[in-house]
Amino acid sequence: MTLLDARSITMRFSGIIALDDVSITVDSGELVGLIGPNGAGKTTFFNCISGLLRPTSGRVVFQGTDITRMPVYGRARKGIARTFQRTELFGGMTVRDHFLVAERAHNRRGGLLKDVLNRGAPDADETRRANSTLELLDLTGDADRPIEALSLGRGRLVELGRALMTEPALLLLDEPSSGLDTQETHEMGELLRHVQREKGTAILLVEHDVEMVRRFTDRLYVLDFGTLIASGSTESVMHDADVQKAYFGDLV
Amino acid sequence: MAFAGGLLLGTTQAVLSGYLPLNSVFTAGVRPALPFFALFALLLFWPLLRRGREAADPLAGVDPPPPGLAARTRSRTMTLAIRILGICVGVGFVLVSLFGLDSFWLLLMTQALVFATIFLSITVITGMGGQVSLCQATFAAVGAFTTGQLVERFGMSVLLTMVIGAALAAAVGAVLALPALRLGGVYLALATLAFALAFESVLLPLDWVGAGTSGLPVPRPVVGPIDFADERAFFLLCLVVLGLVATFVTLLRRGTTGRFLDAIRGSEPAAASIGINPFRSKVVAFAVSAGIAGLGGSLLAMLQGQANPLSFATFFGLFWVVIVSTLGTRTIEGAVYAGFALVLVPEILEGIGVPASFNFVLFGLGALTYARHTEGIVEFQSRRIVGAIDRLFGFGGGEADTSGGNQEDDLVASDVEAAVNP
Ligand SMILES: Nc1ncnc2c1ncn2[C@@H]1O[C@H](COP(=O)(O)OP(=O)(O)OP(=O)(O)O)[C@@H](O)[C@H]1O
Ligand SMILES: [Mg+2]
Repeated sequence: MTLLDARSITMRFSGIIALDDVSITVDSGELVGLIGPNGAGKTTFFNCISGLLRPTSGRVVFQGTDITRMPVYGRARKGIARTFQRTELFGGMTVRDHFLVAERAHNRRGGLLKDVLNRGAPDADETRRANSTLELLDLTGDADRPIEALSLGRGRLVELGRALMTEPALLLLDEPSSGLDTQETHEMGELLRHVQREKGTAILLVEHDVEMVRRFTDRLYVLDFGTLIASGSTESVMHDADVQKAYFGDLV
Repeated sequence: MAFAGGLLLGTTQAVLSGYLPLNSVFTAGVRPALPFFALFALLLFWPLLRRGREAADPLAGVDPPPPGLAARTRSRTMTLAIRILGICVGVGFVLVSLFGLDSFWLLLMTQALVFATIFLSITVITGMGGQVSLCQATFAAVGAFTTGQLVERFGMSVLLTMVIGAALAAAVGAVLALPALRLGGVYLALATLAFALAFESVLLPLDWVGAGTSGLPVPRPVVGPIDFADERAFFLLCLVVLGLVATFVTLLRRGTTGRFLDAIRGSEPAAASIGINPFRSKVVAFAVSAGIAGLGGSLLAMLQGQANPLSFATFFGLFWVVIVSTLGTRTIEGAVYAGFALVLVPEILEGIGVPASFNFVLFGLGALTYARHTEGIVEFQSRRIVGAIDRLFGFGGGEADTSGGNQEDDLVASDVEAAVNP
């Protein structure tokens, strides 16, 4: 079943065309890669899907509904979660607080009156869900440390966990392995596969690490200068001559 | 650096007053206002200046995360010790005020409590909501004049009108926030200032609002056998109101409302990406803040026996924002200290024979310190002191201040490293 259907997305910034007529689909439960050289427009595409940017033209359809004009939080509530290339964490909060606030935002309980009646504190169920995500990501040891005390790699895990707490149908990950070493990158890949299989979450992955892309994605889209230059199964795309030239040229 | 800045401000004032014609209206207006202009430039443009450096990244337009509250990073023993000390000081203060002070000082103490209540509105909008509002005095005025009008025209009970005034102020706050929040940042601050000035010059003179410049009489409430015209009884009433508002703010901060606002302050795009509606959260913060200001404004009018437009002048409201920002917007204590500072500092300066203009030098110093430690002096110093005591006695607490940046911060940060990983 088609989960995300981005149709002819064009994004123009004053002068530059960051995305030119890009169409991408993601089915439920798929792990799809989106690759391309620096400045190709990958992050811009994510911003168009998650709602931080409104495309100049084109439509974003999610679970059969047109969400092109929906605000960021509305899309989040519909089941689109994301992480950021430059981590966007909540300063001053602990790791556990990140998960609890995401949980609260997801199930939308609470409000002024509940706070005043001191019902704002996390209940047993919320605590349990936060704990299980902490465990999944192996963050239990850091649960009560403020976010500033964590390394970049741990920070990326916290972003992933925060996104998972909203129980997304589609997870957009913007270079989750950047700043991680080989071992951590591999663990991140395994983790994504685990999430995809266990929770049935579809993942769209922007990634520079060729090994990770090769091992963990089923399908690939390749962007170059804002246009899609290739798409198909990971195997076939990686052998495509144009892709080799545009993307792997300096590597192979 | 702060000292040099203060000197600079002082000198500029002196020089300006040398060149400007004496006794002109302009001099009288400009001289005392200079530190305000300096501070407002800072308040308004400081985030913008920092932002400029990172403008290349579209997601970078978010302030660096505020450091965690000192209270969160100290050890249990320390927290307990501080709490006991706090209770002792509080009880002592109340007893001394009630039985040890003459009516002049008791009045000042009551005034400090009322201002502390009003200042909690700044704790909500700036400390929790991360917005600079320059019309808190206007919200207070809405509360005060609603009370005045309802009592005068309909003879309603004063305590009831106080609640109505707060509700009306909250509504005004929400309605103002709807368009103003679309602007964001500096423009939001300017929009609130514009609203404050417009209210002052257009609405306030109207018969059904401020009734000219003479003010409206506001009586003290009478509840059963208790007549709050008695200064001691009124002191206790103000204490209770402050206590209730402080509890309310604490509950909000700990609850969902506060957590969402924390998240939005930390990163607005990320907060939205997990399903938080930042606009709605900020409107709520504005409404709550305006409501608290309105409540405090009614109380101030009762204290003074009248709702006087002069007490709610826009300029005075700017002073409020600055003094709370200087002492700390993120804690209840910050607002309480600011209330006392506002009332007591001029008295103390006069008492030790310092010319009143030194008020402004102090103020400039405070402003510059604020620019460096945006969490406020109270918060900054309490982190340092708590951290030091914790280490001294080996309580095992400590802070995780990684803000870095300048020399002093680095020093703290390295101390902290040592405390966290011995
Ligand atoms: N808000 C913006 N305003 C103007 N130009 C932008 C904006 N966001 C992105 N761009 C431009 O759009 C193009 C695509 O940028 P984008 O960040 O999407 O690339 P990317 O594929 O994510 O690159 P990288 O691999 O470096 O992250 C770049 O030329 C960039 O300068
Ligand atoms: Mg990118």
